[in-house]
Amino acid sequence: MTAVAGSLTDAAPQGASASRARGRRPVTEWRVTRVVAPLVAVGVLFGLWELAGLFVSTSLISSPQQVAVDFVDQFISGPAVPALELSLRELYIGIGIGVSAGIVLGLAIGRYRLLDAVLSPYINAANATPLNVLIPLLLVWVGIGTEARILFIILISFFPVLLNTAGGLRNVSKGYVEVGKMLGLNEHQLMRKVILPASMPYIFAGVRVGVALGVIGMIVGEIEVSNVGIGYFINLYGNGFRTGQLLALIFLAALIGVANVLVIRGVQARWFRWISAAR
Amino acid sequence: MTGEATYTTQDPPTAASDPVAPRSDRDKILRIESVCKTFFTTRRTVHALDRVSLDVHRGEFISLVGVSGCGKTTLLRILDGLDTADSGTISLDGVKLDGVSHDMSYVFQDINLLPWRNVLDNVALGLEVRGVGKAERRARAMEVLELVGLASVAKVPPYTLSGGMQQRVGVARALAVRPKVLLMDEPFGQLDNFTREALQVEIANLWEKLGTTIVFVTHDVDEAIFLSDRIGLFQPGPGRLTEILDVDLPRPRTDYDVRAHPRAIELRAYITEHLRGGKEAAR
Repeated sequence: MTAVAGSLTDAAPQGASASRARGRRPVTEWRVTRVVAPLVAVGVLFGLWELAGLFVSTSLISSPQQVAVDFVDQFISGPAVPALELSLRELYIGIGIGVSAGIVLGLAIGRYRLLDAVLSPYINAANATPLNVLIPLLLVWVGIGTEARILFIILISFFPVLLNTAGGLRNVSKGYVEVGKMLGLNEHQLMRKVILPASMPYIFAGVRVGVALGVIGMIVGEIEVSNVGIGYFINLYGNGFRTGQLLALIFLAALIGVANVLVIRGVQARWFRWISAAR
Repeated sequence: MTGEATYTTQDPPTAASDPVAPRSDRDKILRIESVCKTFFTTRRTVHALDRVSLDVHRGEFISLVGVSGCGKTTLLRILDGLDTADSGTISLDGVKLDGVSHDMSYVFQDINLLPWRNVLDNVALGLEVRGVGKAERRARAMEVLELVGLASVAKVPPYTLSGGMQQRVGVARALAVRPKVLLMDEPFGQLDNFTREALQVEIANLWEKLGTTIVFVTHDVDEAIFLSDRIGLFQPGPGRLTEILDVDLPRPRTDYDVRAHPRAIELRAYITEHLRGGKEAAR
């Protein structure tokens, strides 16, 4: 490969044929590490759990079978369906607003140094504060309803997106910026065609964190603000020692988190493939 | 040493005396007059350039050679407007330059192709901001890609290319805007020997074909001799252009091994000696 690398005729992208030639082993390896190993791990866990269920009281750990039954009972047709709907609606409204606001303000702060200087004390203070201390304040301001819960989700998902976006803009490789300047891009074009796309890896990282925190915010809000949605059932089952149903809820929460991650990854893989490919 | 550039007044030993046209008659595309640049850091002050003056002739290939830290890259960056001079002027075709010039483009050592654009769109970026329509800029970008032999990878993301291919895209990107002057900053410094030699030949051919004026920074003496009409020698501490040599070797130099040419051997010895002296002066 090296020998032809500089010649006029080595038109095919380097490595295309090479990776085909040794294609077999990596695919097998990939299957083992990405598919087989996790399945085995999960299988072992469930086996041990089922086994433990035989010896320990069901109010402590229940059993996978029971949890599965409870899951279906609660969330496929049971009483928790409207609760889940409410939770998800509030979650996605909150995340939608929090993440978009974080990106927009992050872009502004990353771009304008003065804005950054003015706002950074507040942002740093807010980011360092455990935001659930704000809940009582939110209750005083907007009452104990949907608004307070959504507001909390907005707040908690907002900061990581903001900080990552602003940081991303500032950390864009100097080399990219110089290429843009050299080609004669004005400040606006530089922003749109170089700095913004170059910050996408950071923005995505921020969104992943923000969305994950949003799910936490949803549950926390439903327990601490007002007892509705999934949070209501968590309280109910927890207080009633109904471990099977409680575990079913935990799985549900995990499922929401995983689904979110998959969507974000999908968007990145579809429209921003270079982010993972270029490294 | 006066710090002034001297135009080959003192010829290197046994210079073949076949001067081309008198210098004053030649068309000067780029005039660099008494450019100074000092960098201040918290630890020390670096006099990167001290009264550097140089006229670049239209269509010539001129190399700037010197040890690391002698200011040659700084000068190139100032020419393109990526840095500003503390004093002195630069004019292109009689027009004084201020900021980034649309008539010059730069080939970086770190190519930095934008990974979110495919090869063609990387090459077309400069045309995009010059208001060239989509169809035309695609066509023009394709044209320069063909020139560097990379038309077949136009649609491919740049990070899938080898280092040598990426650097050729870097050259294509700079050429796409049809610059009057092409500035190249150690463009082949990070490539392996074979790739570097292949690209040197390619650049020489491109230059013969296009007639673009090229200012080329390198610390590779053989590279400079192979490519250049003239070589400007830099000395560090403070960075000065101390001498300009004519490379009076026949062209095209791809026809024979230029490094074995007796005149090339003389030049190499002379330049090496000169640079070694500079290194000692910097200590």
